[in-house]
Amino acid sequence: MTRHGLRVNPRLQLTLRIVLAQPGSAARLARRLTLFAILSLVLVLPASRTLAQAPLLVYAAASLSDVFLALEAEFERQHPEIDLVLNLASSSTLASQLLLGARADVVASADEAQIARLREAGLIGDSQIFARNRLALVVPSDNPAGLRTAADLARPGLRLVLASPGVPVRGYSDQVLEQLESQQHVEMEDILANVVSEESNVRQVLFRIAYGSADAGFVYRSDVTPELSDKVAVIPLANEVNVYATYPVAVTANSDNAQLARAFIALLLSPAGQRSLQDHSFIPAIPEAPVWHGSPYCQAAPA
Amino acid sequence: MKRVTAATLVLVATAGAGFLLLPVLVLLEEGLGTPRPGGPGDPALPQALALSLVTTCISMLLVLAFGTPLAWVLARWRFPLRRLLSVLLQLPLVLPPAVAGLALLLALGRRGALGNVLASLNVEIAFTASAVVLTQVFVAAPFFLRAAQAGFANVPADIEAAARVDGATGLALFLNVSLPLSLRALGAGLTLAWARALGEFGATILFAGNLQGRTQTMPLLVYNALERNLDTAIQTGLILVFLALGVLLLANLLRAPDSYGYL
Repeated sequence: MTRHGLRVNPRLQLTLRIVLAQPGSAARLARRLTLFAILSLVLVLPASRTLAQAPLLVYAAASLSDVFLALEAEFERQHPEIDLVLNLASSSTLASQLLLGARADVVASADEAQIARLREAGLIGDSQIFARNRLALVVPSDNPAGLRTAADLARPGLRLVLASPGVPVRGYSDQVLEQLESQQHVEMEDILANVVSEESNVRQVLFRIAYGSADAGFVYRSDVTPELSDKVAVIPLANEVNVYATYPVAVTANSDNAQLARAFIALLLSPAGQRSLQDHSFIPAIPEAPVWHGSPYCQAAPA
Repeated sequence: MKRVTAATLVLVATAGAGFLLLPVLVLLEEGLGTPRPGGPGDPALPQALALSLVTTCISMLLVLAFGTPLAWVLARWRFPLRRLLSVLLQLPLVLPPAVAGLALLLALGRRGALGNVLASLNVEIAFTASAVVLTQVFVAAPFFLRAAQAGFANVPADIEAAARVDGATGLALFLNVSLPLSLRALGAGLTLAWARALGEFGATILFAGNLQGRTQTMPLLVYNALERNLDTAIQTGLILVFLALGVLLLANLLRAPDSYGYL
């Protein structure tokens, strides 16, 4: 019975035999392999730590993606010799990465809880609030579930997407649901029974809504950017139901670049930084900054 | 000189083997070494384990049911573009899982190409265990197809001819002669397909979402638990390591003794 053995071409076999029979060829082969292995290590190791001016590593909450990309450009314009590198993920992911030993210079979180986790571990010192935000209840622009008010979230069969427990926006979403329960007599349990997926950060919640796979989700107002206005609609949340998100920022204790890290935080708190945050629908945290007039991006959903 | 060569060879080989083994050994040490206080344990873990086992079993039944005839056709029939089709069907093997998930979402999601058809049939796939199963079938089936095709192609023609002389035809010939002779290949392919399905992460989280007890399989739990309970992540990882080890041993056992394998 034939089996599927390794069939080596007889001619190749012969060639191999001749090559290997050459005096010293096996040794040469071994030397070449060793050289190759050493070379590849030499090439890989420096990649893990740049030899030139180290980049400024900024760990930022996913909801800060757009505004921090703009601020990155501004910071690099002010400091042309510095490469600012953003690590964007949910604040809880960022905190976990730092707790597991990742290196960073600046941490900007979407809530105080993650900053507290890091402070307890001695990874950061003082923090400062640089922005605030509010929540937005979003639906796909064609509103397939016909959601009209937040109270409709309790309707059976609705497909609600929230962030995973621990992710800041989940904490704020839960607060909104608690407000709904206490003020509008909607059972929080009924709403939570409609959850079909828990996403790892706020931008993924938004993705589920923008691509229509879910009926509703909670994101920040600042997440509903103009580019998404044809995909996502916002269901108004009453002021007494909505909550404020706070964004603290801190320099890490092990930063090799503390001075530049402070310069970046100074940019965040400067009038230009605060204006940029406001342009991206955040609420500035510094009193001198102009008063916030509500998000230009939020619009009513079709009834 | 010869001794120096041998020494460097051993050194490089040790470094290579160490790199491959060390991370798993550390995971084992973390999971088994330090005794944990006998807490109630994370309820997400048994749920994820059950979900993973149930969905992968269903996936493998689907792979067997659809993959076996398909592999037979690809191995035995001669038709135009057969080899091209055979190669294309292996695409999920090398496709990044995130791309597979995106493709499934675009095809079967509510706004997807087939979404309207499914919606009119009142079938919702996204965010259900069905989505988990479909994802697993999509990414794992090629492992089975490859092995089964090779197995069917290697059934000696003279044995089948002899069976035909004795009057066996059609399904009887397949069930009594061809299938038993390729059983080892099918088993090995199915084992690897199962391992791939069990480990599936990227496509699942994109297409099926992540909800404890409904779509959160073990790899999703590892990722999710990292942030709230590292112990759960390590314990789940540990179970996956042992399952993977079992699969590897089984696949080796099923491999024909005198071959280097088609896997």
